[in-house]
Amino acid sequence: MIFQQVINGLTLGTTYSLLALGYSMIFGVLSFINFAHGDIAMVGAYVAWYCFVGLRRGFIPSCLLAMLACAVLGVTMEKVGYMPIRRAPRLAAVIASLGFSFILATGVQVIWGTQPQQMPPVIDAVTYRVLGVTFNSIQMGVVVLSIVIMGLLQLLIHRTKVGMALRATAIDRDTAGLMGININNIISFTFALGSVLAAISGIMVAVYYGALYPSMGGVIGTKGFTAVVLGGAGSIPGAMVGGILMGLIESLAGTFMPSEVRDAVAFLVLILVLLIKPSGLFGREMVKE
Amino acid sequence: MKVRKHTVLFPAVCLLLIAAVVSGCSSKPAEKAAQKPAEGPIKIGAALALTGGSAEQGNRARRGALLAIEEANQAGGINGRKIELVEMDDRADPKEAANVANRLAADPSVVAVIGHTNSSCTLAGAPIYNKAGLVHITCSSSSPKISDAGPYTFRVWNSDAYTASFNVKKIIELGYKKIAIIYENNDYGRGGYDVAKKTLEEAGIQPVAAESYLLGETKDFSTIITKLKNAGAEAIYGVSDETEIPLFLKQAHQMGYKPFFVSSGTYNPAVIRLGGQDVEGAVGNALFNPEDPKPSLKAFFDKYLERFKSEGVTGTDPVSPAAYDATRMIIEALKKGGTTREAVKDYLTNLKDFDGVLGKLSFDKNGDTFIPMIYMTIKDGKFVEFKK
Repeated sequence: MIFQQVINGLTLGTTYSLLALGYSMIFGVLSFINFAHGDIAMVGAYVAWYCFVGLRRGFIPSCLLAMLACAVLGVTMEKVGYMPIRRAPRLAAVIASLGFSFILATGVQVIWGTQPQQMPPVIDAVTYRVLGVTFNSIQMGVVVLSIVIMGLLQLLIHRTKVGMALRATAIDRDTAGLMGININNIISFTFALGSVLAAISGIMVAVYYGALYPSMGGVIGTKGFTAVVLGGAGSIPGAMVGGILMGLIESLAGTFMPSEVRDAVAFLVLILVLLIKPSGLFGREMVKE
Repeated sequence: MKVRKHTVLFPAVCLLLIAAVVSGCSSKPAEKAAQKPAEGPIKIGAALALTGGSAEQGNRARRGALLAIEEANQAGGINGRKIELVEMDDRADPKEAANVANRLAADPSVVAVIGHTNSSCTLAGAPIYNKAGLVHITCSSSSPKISDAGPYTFRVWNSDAYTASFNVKKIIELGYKKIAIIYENNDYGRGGYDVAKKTLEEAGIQPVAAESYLLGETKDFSTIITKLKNAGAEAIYGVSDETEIPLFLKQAHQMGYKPFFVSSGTYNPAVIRLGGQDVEGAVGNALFNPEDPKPSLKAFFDKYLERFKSEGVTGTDPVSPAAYDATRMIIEALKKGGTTREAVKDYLTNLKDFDGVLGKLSFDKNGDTFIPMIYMTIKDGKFVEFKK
């Protein structure tokens, strides 16, 4: 049973990780948590669902369109809401992101209704049984896809010019600007990339659970955000590990304790980590300001 | 300081005087109305969710009540007096429900109320009605708490407690011994869980597992499913809503686990829409089979659909016949018991075997009815009666 629960936790955790990556990237560059991130994932899932089911397009084109839509949405949010207040105290940006979160959630409710919608199966769920542990093709797909995306992201950040500019901006925005990096472009790029990641995780959650609904952004957003804090805000490996840990803790806590307390245990671990290492597991110490 | 005191005191005294005069004046017509309501129509309140999230349910009840009253008026009313339905909208909001209840309680020509729609609204209104000595009958609230809401609170709808024991009895009857319960971690879920557990224990069965989840938040059931599977549960009773049933069953099937599943939330088109292939075979309770209603219900729906065609009503539903029966009970009380609030209450308290379209209805000592139910299951993407 424990192995089974570990598999369950891993799958759950990778869906958290993917969302956490986007959170973490934006935090790394702008030092604020974008609370609308989970809702962008929700919008991504809805756009993909609408193209796939409503307009009867193929699944891959639907996903690509959703990713594009989310990238545009993320950049628009940044230009409209965050750029004008970039020099204001960070709290202003956090409040603005909460505002965006409400706008997106209610916007989707107005367009597609409050009812949950069904995501038709994209691939057939083939169940495998190995040594008493069952897992299926969707679970495997989710895990493999997440790991590939995380790997690609690591490469992008550490092996490309854009990645270098991105890291420079994260370390010191003003100096990076003086070195000839176009800060506005880098920040827009960060939002676009983060939103694309959010769209992927939103679609993945919708496909894995076969359903999507307007409030899912808030639900997965909270977990993704917690994973970021656990792993260390601004750190890419931290987001991955934080997400997977959250999934594992939830799953294992639910195994050995009544299932009511499993969320509580996940947050308890978070509080402990923050008490012992306030910057999170992989976080760099925040000395500036 | 002195000046200030005066400026406060003077208007205050004035206000008091005005208030005394106004209340003195207004109390007179009220008394008059209370003394001789013998002319003019007899009023029945309809305190329902006519707009907002539960508008669909509220309007079903409104139409059922309206049909009963129109029929009674065509047959001559109560000793020549017409009956009037006073429609009030609580918008499914408990605060608004209390307002509506106060307004109905303050109108002495209102002798009984149909309402409210949501359990929270019924529970918000109940203390007001009970204090005013005004009968109210809810036709869609299922919370077990309503049973204890007071002597003037009646219900023509099944309590969740009754539904849970009804469903669990079927699982026991089919011979399952390893039974697990899943439930929402809220009033509804825990209430249903307690009754389900008690029903099992009365049959000498201990549930092999009982797991809870959060309504609207839990999407991943894999941990729960693994536990149920390991406990060897062959049948599961779910105190669940339509959103979680498809999620649970889908994930269970993906993990190669296919237990017999019964839930109070199964009978809802959304379950089929969201669950597709995976909810096939799930069982749940219903008041009637829309494909094959009993003759009394068929006669009711023929009239009902004809009357409300103009409102765009095309399908059957369980709330409108319940409201129809409840309103007819009140009308019978007015005819045989008397046209005062107290007479209606006395008549309903002792009502036994009322010949309703839903079946023979009696109130127990808590003012609850037990409407006969059937089991429905999902077969080939449709609800069919479960006969086993």
